Amino acid sequence: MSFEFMEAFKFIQKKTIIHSLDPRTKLLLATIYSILAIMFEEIFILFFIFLSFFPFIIAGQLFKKWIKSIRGMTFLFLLLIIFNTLFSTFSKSISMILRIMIMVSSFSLFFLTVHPDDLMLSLLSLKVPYNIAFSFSLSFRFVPTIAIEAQNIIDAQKSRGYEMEQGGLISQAKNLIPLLIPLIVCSMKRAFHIAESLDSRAFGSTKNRTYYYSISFTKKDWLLTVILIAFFIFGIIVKLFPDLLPNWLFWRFPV
Amino acid sequence: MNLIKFEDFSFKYDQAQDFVLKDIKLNIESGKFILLCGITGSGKTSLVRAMNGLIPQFYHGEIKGDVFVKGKNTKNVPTSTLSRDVGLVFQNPENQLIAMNVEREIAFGPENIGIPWDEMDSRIKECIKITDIEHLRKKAPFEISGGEQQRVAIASILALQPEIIIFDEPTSLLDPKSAIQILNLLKKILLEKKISTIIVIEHRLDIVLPLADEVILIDKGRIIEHGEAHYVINGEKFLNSGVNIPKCVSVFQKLMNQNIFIGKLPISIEETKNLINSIK
Ligand SMILES: Nc1ncnc2c1ncn2[C@@H]1O[C@H](COP(=O)(O)OP(=O)(O)OP(=O)(O)O)[C@@H](O)[C@H]1O
Ligand SMILES: [Mg+2]
Repeated sequence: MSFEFMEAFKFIQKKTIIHSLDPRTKLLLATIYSILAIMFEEIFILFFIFLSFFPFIIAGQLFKKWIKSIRGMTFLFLLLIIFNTLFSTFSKSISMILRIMIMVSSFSLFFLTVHPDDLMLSLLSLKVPYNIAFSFSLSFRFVPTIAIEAQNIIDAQKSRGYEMEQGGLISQAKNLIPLLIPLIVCSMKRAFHIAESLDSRAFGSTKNRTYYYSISFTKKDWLLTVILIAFFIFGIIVKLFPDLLPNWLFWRFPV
Repeated sequence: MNLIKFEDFSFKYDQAQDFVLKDIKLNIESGKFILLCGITGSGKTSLVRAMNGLIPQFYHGEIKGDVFVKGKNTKNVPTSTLSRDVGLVFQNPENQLIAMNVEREIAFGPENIGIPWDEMDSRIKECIKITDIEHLRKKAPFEISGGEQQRVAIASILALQPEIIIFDEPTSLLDPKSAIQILNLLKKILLEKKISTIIVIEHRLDIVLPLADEVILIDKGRIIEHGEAHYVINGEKFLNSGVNIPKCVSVFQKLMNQNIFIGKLPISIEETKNLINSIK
């Protein structure tokens, strides 16, 4: 499950309107949708919030990835339904699932469409110090490398008779040790070599660093920002004055 | 002018038993294509680490003597500052590529030293052209082959425009044809005076020797020979050092041992051709 789920957060280069938005706009999008998801627990309202997110997924050509990430969470959803229904109500469990779907969708849209280096630039524009922002984007860069390394280690250990999926839960956890130790050692070595090469390329040699790429707020960013904020305010109003809405929106499952 | 100067420099890694560099006296002058050779473990990589301050700033250990880069003592000036004078392309390209695409990779060095956008852009274009990687421009480092990574690593150092560039086995992941291409390219950069000195560590002597002005031969941490290429190649020490001696040299050396040939050993195909013609 886990790897498939991670796929939903890995940047892919595409030319769509969503990709071309400023990262800060997309961060706002993810944040507002997440807050709205937490604010409400009525199934229909959550469902409409969820529906209203769909155009973004379509516009960003992310449908397949998105389906994958949702599918990756089926197990979690099942657990949620079972436990929530046992300890509270079926309706609660459905709204919980909708909430999680909204939050996961909105953040996966962010990570799928924001280039890690642009992520760094937006962190910088939010006054995060360069060193921290840079190490953030560096860790994104090395995720695939370390994934390949992990696969190599698995293959190497397998060729020595190692079996990962054997025995019960505890012995499976123990089975991870021959994987983790070489992986950690390799990663530490790698980190040292990366640091060495950063220094050899003048990293941190001046405070007046320049940037080849820049991010900028364009008209469509402003437009979307305004719409999002209006949407958010509308959400707050509805929350404060639920009488404004028709009754059926508050419908629940009888169980 | 002396670009790099070693004054009786010795170094021992922290965990090691023995000194890995011993009593190094060395002057690196400008305008040279220098080949640094020696067998595996002889200390080539360690020697170049001492040229941009990685030894002793990154690799700690016991030091004797000093190294100066354009008059700056490498003990006191940080590597990140020295990197403007000395560019080092590492043996393993994988760990030196840190950006998500090739273009950003090349931009990284110039960004770090605060180059204005217009100049940065023209440097990037130039370096991409020199190393012939236009088609990789938007690719991520993990999407391209080892040889392509090496080209990108070279481009990313060129973009810093250091006076001295050191290549630690720049062609180890390349096929012979691309290796020749890359090394000739380095020579061309030097001749066009884009860089004033190039130091190359390379095991394929048959390809580099024809390009080299100077050869440094290192063995067990000592520089046992250093001088003009022909001078070093013709010396006993070179022939007995265990390095990968090119065919043209070894053939004529055998002839020499059998007293069939007397004279200077040829270091390139061109010289071999001339030599054979002159014998006829
Ligand atoms: N970080 C280190 N710590 C301790 N010892 C080291 C370190 N790096 C290298 N050595 C040792 O120093 C010696 C010289 O290594 P170095 O890498 O300089 O050789 P080299 O000539 O570059 O070899 P190669 O041709 O294999 O790259 C070797 O015996 C090596 O084991
Ligand atoms: Mg080496």
